[in-house]
Amino acid sequence: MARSGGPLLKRISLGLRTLQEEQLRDSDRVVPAIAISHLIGALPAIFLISSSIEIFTVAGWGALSLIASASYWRFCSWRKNAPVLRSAILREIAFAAWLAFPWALFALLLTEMQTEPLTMIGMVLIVCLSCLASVQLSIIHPAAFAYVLTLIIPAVLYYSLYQPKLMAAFGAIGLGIFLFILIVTISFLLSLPKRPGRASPAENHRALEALAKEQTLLILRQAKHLKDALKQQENINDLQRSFIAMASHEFRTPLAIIDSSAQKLKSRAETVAPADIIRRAETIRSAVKRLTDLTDRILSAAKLENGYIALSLQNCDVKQLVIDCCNRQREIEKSHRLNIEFGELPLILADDKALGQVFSNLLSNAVKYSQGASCIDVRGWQDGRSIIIEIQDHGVGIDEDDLPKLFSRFFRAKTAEGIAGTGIGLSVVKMIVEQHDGEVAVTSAKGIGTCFTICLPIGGPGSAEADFIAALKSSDNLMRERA
Amino acid sequence: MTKILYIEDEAILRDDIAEELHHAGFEVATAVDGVDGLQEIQRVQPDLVISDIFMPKMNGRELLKELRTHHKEYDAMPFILVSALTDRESRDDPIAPATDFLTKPIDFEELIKVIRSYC
Repeated sequence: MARSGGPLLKRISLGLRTLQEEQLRDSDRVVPAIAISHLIGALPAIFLISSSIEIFTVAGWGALSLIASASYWRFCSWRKNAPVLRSAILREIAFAAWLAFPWALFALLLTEMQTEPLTMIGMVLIVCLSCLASVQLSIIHPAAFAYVLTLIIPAVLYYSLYQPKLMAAFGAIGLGIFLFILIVTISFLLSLPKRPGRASPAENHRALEALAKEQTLLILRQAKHLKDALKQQENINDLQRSFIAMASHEFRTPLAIIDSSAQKLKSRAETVAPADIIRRAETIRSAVKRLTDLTDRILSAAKLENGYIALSLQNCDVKQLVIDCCNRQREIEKSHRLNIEFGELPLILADDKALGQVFSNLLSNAVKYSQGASCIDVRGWQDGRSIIIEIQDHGVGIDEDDLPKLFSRFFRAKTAEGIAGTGIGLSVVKMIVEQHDGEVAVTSAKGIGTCFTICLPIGGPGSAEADFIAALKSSDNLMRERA
Repeated sequence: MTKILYIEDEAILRDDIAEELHHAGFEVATAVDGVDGLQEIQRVQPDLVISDIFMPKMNGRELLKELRTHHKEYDAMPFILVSALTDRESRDDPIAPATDFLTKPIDFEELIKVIRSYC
């Protein structure tokens, strides 16, 4: 709604558009306003013709109309803040004055057209412009279309008769006004929105039914949203409850082992053999290691949850790191044979402590979820600008529908039921690997086993290799989406 | 002699507790999980069962539920669950309540006392 600068026609067009918006918004009230405005607009025309008022008076009326029109446009920019009643009254007054202007000019044409040729040409042009404005108005509402007809019909009549006498003009205008009132009234009545009171009972019933259906759909949609949100919250609560139970179990089991060994040593203090003491000490140390690992895992998860942990990047021998993790795992659990197959691996820029946690988590998982199997395969090789580490077990495997959620915090696969675990190990693995700009992937078959693959850029996070892995990852995702 | 079945997946704890119970004069059988435990119950016919909760294949709670719903002949047999949780509300199951609860780490003296209170 530009009010300053720009060509006049553009401003007029914007003003009309504003009118249109207003009328579309509350046509119920604007339609009678248009009808009244047309009537008011017609009155000065009749008055002018009947009393042959001087041209200056007509010009003054036109100027007033212009001022009123300008006020109307100005008012449009205030209407958002103006009180509703005041805005409605002002609009109707301004609109009436705005419509009066072309009517006055048309009356002037009829009275003056035969005096001077130049005046006549000017008047014809003004009438054309008025007609144009009226056509624009008619776009707004059918009621305004009547206004166009009332301008054109008398003119047509006048020219067809070509009577220079004033009486012909009177006749034409009179007929025009009659037709105008008729058409405006009809179009006004036709354009009135149907009110429920005027509709038939069947229509009312249909309208009510439609409304009820719409509202029911809305309520159902909202209920579904609420249900989904509730379900999501319940899932989170369930996961947290199960985490607390599992974490409690995970902490208390090594504590129970330590306590059991301590009680044994105490009750058999006088008879215990030195070899037994060593065995007990080893058991206690192993349980302490379990507790330390668990604490580290939970702390890392908490840190990673709150944002990135600060990586301490240095040249890291991943092959040696994995072998160390395998040796530690052997100390904790001797039940499995770890088959290590490594090609030559370059040093990579990484945080060895964080990566150590990744491999420890994956190895302890491999052991934990393959109790019936005897071996775990650990492989490593260089692939272009990245290194790949694979840890494969031959255990319970994972259901296919659990795979997408596997790295979510607290999530535990169905096949993990009854096996101790907190559901945070794999989320820590993913977060640490991604912080290195690497990638972790999992393939699994239920009852056959699971394979975790870690891909790490040789140049560390932020390197060109990391960008390459990211590009590969995004193209993989794209292909998956397309598939 | 009172026969006790101790079900625990953690080998070290299982051996220690079994040894302690044997030392206290009980006849002890052990099982590594719920499925194994159910078979041992039918084979050994123990006077009392002590079972850990978190175990692979079938956990302690599931085993208790299975016994109470499908093996009515063991209704009178005390079943003690070893829980990591300390509050009874979280540990108890309204459908198949355990006879009693023990909390990890298990105090040997308390364990013997609890067993004697039922047998």
